[in-house]
Amino acid sequence: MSRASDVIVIGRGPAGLLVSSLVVEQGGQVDMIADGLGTLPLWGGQFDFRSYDNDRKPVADPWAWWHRFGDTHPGGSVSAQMWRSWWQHLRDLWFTMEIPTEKLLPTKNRGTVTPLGRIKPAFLVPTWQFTQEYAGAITLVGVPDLVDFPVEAMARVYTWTTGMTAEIRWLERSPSWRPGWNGLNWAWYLDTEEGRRWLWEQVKSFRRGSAPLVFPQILGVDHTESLIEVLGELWGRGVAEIPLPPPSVGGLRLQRRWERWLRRKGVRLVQGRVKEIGGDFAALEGRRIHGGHVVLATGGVLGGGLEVLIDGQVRDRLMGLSLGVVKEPEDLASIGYRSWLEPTRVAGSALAGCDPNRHGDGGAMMLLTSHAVFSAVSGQEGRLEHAGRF
Amino acid sequence: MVIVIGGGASGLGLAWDLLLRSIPVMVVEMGDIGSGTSGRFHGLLHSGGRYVVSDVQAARECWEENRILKRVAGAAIKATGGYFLSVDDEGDAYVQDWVKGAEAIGLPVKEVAVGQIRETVENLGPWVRRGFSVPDGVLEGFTLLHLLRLNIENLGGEILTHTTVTDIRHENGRVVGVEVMDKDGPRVIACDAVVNAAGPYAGEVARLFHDGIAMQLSRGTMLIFANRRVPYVINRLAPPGDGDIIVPHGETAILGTTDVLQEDPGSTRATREEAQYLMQLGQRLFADMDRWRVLRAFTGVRPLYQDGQEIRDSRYISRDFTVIDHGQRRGLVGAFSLVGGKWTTYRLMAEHMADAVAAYLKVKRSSRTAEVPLQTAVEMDLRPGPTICECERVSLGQLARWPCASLTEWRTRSWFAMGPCQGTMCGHRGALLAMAVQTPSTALRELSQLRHERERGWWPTTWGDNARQWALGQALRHQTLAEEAWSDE
Ligand SMILES: Cc1cc2nc3c(=O)[nH]c(=O)nc-3n(C[C@H](O)[C@H](O)[C@H](O)COP(=O)(O)OP(=O)(O)OC[C@H]3O[C@@H](n4cnc5c(N)ncnc54)[C@H](O)[C@@H]3O)c2cc1C
Ligand SMILES: Cc1cc2nc3c(=O)[nH]c(=O)nc-3n(C[C@H](O)[C@H](O)[C@H](O)COP(=O)(O)OP(=O)(O)OC[C@H]3O[C@@H](n4cnc5c(N)ncnc54)[C@H](O)[C@@H]3O)c2cc1C
Repeated sequence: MSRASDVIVIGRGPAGLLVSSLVVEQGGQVDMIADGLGTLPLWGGQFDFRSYDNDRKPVADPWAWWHRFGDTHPGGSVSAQMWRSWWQHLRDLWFTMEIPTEKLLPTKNRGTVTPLGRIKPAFLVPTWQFTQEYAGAITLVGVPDLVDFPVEAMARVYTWTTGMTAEIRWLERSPSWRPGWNGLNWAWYLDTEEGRRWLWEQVKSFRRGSAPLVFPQILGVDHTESLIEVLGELWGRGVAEIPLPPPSVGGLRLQRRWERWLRRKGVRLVQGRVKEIGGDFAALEGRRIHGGHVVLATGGVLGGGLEVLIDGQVRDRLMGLSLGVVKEPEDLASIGYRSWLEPTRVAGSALAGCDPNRHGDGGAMMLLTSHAVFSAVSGQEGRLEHAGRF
Repeated sequence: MVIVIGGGASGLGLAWDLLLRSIPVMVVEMGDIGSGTSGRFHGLLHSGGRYVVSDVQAARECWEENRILKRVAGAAIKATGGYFLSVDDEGDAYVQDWVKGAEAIGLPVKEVAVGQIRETVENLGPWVRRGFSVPDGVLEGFTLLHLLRLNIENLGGEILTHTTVTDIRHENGRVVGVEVMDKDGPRVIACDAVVNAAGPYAGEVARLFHDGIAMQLSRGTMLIFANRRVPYVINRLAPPGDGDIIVPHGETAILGTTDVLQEDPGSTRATREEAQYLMQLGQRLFADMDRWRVLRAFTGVRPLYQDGQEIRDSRYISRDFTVIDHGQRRGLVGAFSLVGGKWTTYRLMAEHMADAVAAYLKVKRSSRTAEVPLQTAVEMDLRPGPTICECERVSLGQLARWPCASLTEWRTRSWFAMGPCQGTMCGHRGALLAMAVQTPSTALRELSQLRHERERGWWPTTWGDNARQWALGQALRHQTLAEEAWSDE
């Protein structure tokens, strides 16, 4: 590490968190600046590798997909070994942050269920998320008035798409329940002693079943694994969750654990909007922060890194750069920087050419761009010379 | 029985008029109620002020109907009042003509000091010079359509939706029935007379009557902003032009419109360029409009009619309406068309049309729609239940009030999915609720239709915060919910 001991990372979405982690793992000092939480609390926290091919058909083996078709994509020049080492590293990193995933890296995509009852591919997921290799029977847990988890309809869609049965077990309203509770309200409640005890009693009273018990993602924020363990013993089969629309508890769990780890490693988290950057500084309202490198992990249009003007121009507000003009809806997702090295170092969804909505490659793009930028700031540019531009 | 083709303002207005004369009616609508122009208009209950110089007949009718509708359809009207504002670059001559024109039709206009108007409307451009108050109002199109529907059905009138009239049955040149097509296939419905109230499609329907009518279709685009930026209607005091009216609508405000001749009765996709153009125009009244939170753009097609003249600028086609008896021309006997006009004058149009139909059927009763108020639904006391749509505060209890004929109908009745998030957070909830009565494939298809319908008007205005909202919507649809992905593996 030549100068990576002093990196300013702007943005605390998944890309910003990973770049920061890579730097501190090498003993570097990081300042993270962000004006908002980023996208993690908006999604359930499954990290996709490649879920759909260019015809939007599900991809069973993402390793093979990258190997065979990846050359149409910014990540196409990455070798299988490289991907493997990056995923392995993420898995190990999460392990030290107490974000549990399976023991071995997945060799294939697995199927998870969405709150619409649809099946979708998933690659690296924390153990709390429900996945299966082949669609089988499931038992869904209904929660009163939780409008984002309408179990009857989900069960019908599930059976209609997979031909497998989906039984239902209903929770009652807990004594602490209040009208308007969403998944996050439930999760905070189930982190408490009262909530856990109440849930144990509920599950004890369930009529037995032979299929895994699938909850909406409400099983606590900070104490999820221990709760799931007890519920598993009570139910006698697997217990897992399905991520819900925002506020999404899964992403929030990841972010809390990730940032706790970063803080322990000495990373400073600065709240605020960056107005200007230079080669070695970032300026906020009223002050400047200096560092050896500056990395933009400011996200795309959603994250706030890119702004769309009335005439369709897409601009990076911070850099004062125009990156193109949107004409078709697809452009909005895929417009952005064409290089992660020039004119500045960019990681995450401000990069052009990938569209996680269509391809299900959000996690992979985060890995690729974060590692590429890290190599650059740590003086290992040569390693990715050919992948730096697309 | 009379068959009315078209479930818009004209068709439902006519059905109501006929029923009040005890003439049995069936309305046939190919989409949902209001899926034509009547659900895609500006929402202005005209006082007539807009037309006092250019189209005096239309102005008179508007002012008359304005007062009648406030009486008989009060539940669907907000009597907000409005202003005509003159801006620097307009000559005084027009202002004088306008004031004279208003006086001539007895329209109560009053000059108000601009300073006083500024107190209630924020950020009015500094170049606004004079202001006149007028009795403009807001006409809630879907509310009035559903009100008409309720009253029609209460009197035994039948309304078929998702049913298209494909041909006319006739014997000896006289109408005896219509051929319709719905999801179960074609069938024939017998009738004594048929009325074409097909709005922009009136030209095509008239062909089924063995007659042709020359429609002059004109497309108008409007922009919706997420906040009620004005408490009343704001018009620019100038010869009618593009983008010169802002109408408050619930929690939103609508700026419009453009006016461009077009051939296709169904093409209603707004473009980014049109949205941009409207923003430029709107900034002449409100300098800070580029910072208003925009929601979406939408277009409607004006079913204007002007026989036998070549038209270059649709702004000069009369806003007046025409009743056509095809039997008196070269077409089928017992076939009629009602074309042109405005939402504001739908009742008057219906009255004239019903006079002609009643005469044909030898019924002597005259119109009662100006006297008989439309009955509103009895509010049921329902447990509100959980909130389905946070933006528009629509609860499960509210939705449950209407059996779900289609997601679109739920949307236009309850306003769910119409707020700032454009259904991002509630579209899937609606679709899954609908599954109580629908199959999974129907519900998912309707969800996808809802998304496309929302995106159509959303996309042209994706800038600033609205673009971020769009990005979240896409991520949720495709990543969190996997709405449209294949799932056969
Ligand atoms: C609803 C949803 C579902 C998703 N589902 C999946 C999934 O199933 N699988 C998957 O792999 N991925 C998923 N994703 C991830 C997604 O596809 C992207 O890969 C990811 O959101 C990109 O993160 P990022 O770190 O690049 O940027 P963001 O998370 O957008 O972070 C941007 C950060 O930059 C900060 N920022 C921006 N400008 C400034 C400034 N000037 N000053 C200071 N701070 C600034 C913001 O405050 C924020 O902290 C999902 C995303 C969403 C929203
Ligand atoms: C941009 C714009 C702004 C406007 N603003 C205002 C305003 O502010 N105030 C005002 O008073 N007026 C306004 N108008 C005018 C007003 O909206 C229209 O005059 C009125 O809605 C026309 O109603 P309609 O019932 O004749 O037509 P529509 O509402 O179009 O109804 C016709 C119906 O017939 C159906 N149909 C067609 N063919 C068939 C078939 N073969 N079988 C079955 N059904 C069929 C269609 O689906 C449609 O629903 C505006 C118009 C436009 C375009």
